[in-house]
Amino acid sequence: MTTGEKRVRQRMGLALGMLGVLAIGSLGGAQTAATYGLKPGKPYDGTKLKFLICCLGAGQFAQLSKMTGEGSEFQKLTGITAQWENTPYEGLQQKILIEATTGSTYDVVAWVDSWGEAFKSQMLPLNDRIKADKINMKDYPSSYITASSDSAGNIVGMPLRGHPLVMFYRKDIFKELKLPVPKTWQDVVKTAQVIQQKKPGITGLSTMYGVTAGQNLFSWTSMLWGNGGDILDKGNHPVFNNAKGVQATQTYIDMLRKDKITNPAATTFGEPESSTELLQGRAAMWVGWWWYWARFSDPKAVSKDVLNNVGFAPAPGWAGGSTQNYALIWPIGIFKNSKKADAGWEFIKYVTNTEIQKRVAANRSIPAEADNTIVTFSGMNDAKVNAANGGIPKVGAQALRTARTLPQVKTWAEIQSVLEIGINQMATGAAVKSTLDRMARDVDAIQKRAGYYK
Amino acid sequence: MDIPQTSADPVTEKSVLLPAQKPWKPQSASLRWVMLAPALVVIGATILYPLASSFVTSFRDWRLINSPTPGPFVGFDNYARAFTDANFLNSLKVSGIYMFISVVLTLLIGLGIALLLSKPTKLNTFARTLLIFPFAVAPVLKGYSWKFMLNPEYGVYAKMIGDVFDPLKGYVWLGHEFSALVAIAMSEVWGWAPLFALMFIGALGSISPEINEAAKVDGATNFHIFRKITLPLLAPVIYIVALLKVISAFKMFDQVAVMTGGGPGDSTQTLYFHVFQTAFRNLDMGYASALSYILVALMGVIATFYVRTLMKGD
Repeated sequence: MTTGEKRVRQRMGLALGMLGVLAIGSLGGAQTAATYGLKPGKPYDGTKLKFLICCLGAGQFAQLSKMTGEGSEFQKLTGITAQWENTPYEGLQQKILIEATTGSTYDVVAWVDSWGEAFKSQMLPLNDRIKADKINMKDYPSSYITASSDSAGNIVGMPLRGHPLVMFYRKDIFKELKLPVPKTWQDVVKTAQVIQQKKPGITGLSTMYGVTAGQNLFSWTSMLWGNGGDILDKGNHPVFNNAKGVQATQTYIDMLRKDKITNPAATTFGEPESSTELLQGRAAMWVGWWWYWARFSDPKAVSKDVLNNVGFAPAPGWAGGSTQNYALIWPIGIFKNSKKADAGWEFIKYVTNTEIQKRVAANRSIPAEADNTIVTFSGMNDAKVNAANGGIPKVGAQALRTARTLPQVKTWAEIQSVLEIGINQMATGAAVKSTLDRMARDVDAIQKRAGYYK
Repeated sequence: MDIPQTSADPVTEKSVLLPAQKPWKPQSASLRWVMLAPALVVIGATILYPLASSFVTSFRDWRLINSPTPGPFVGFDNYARAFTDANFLNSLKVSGIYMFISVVLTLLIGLGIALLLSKPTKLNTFARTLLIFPFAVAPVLKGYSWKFMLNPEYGVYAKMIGDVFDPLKGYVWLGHEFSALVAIAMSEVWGWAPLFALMFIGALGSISPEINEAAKVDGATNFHIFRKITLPLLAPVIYIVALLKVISAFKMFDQVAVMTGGGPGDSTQTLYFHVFQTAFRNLDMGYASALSYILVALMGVIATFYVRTLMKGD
């Protein structure tokens, strides 16, 4: 064998070796339908699903839509193509209501839990499918399952996207002032007062009391529930104006008007304005949805002194009471009218699969699509997911163990309107007790009109 | 003698060309209807049908959370409910106050601008050209801009006002009932006052300078001339633009949605915003339809005044 032939053989060997490594590598990384509990053999090959959804700007939805659309992994595994119909948030509830009852355009839908009661009867029960596919529902927060079930106990949606309330705080300020992270609202007030005293120009707590899509209810419900109060009783009568409700509400309003630990302009703030206070370094604490963490850790979104200085903890509870924070869930379900229910279920299994959700939550390759949102406890406690998201998923899991969702009544939109206006009125000076009583009368009228009681 | 077909005199041209270029008209009435049909279908489908349908709906109980189709007829219940509904009555009051603030401010500022720019100088001509721009800005954009500029921390207007009037430093303009309504009105006045100014400039131009000169010869001061001559002569224009602004003010929605969401509390919930909330938040279609027709009735009264005034002007 000549030297030249040797070289050719060596090169061929090297090339074959590299191909082998690539082949093994690709075999090791290859996903099959079984990986995600999908049916093998592409039984729904060629099916096109229409998914009614909004907000594709949300990182999780942006990633999932790519993973299930044309040419995606999901399509290769199942032969199913999912078309995400991005509807403006403002019009989504109305569109779902009409579609659920009279339409046949969409197969699958995702909704905000508080809207669900009006159309859950038009959603396909999923219990048998969940059982057949041995999906571990204990891996989901119980509040998510309750909000995804109808009044008969049928699960009509799988949790797709969910949020616990989390308290974000400035680590550098807390460290400098040697302050412990507050665990109760009462501690939050004291801590904020210390911060304002020692750090002029910084607001202790950023809040939102404005009339903006019910956002001024977030912290209020946490206080109300923590103090043992409630919005509605089991018979759906308003009870938020009882002694516990008045006490919790008074504390909430006092933070602004008496304790002055928050920006006076918070009477006009919604979520964007109040979170901006922390983002731009004007506030030391903010209680909001956990998905904001991606924004707080984005160098383009925060001021220099805030970047890498935002810590988080479960949202505060009530001193001497229980900790029952507000959680929000987007269930995903199948319309009873859909003729592609089986393919729809494959799609739902894929997008709610823990492995898929983990992959999405751990992917920070595109900052605009980074999203720590994940719905299962196993996903929230996953090391890789936590490493990618600074540990906030674990904190979320902790908060979700005792979290609750809003009341599941079909009149919620109307009730929310009464509550948010009332809270804003109290924040701008109306007396707490009399305003709560008037709000309760209004809610009572709504419930009677809707036929909940006479 | 042949009259040239390309005569430069438009009158001559018209008289000569008309017989030759008389537009073709379909002779049969049915053919006219056939040709009109597409336009009528579009108008029917997009205007008449929704009007009729919502009118019928206003007499039915239809809450979307209960049923996707309209429920039973309830007579005038929805209309009766409106007049005992504190939220509706509040929105009526808010719209009334808003309308007053908005119309008065627009007229005063518009007239002020017109008087300043009425002399035909080069600078004034340039300034007049710029006047149309604020009106061209979309209401939603106006709302966002004003909300931003009135922010007590970084808003440029809030800062300017705070620097001039110290007690107003840090004042939360959108956080107080009256100032929030004034702020919304100002965002609208900002767009409308320049347009009115242009109308007033036109009207001022039609006042004969001899009248003013004669008054000056008789010893009248500028204020007297304005009060006794200019204002009375402008009155018909002021009346017409005021009615136009009343109609526009009644329709206020965009800035409310963007700047205050109806707050503080419900102090800036205008009629349109309330109807929107009832229909698309509370999903109470029957009641919202009734509210819409009450609104139509109110607007109808104003519009009748407006049209009659215009006709008299002719």
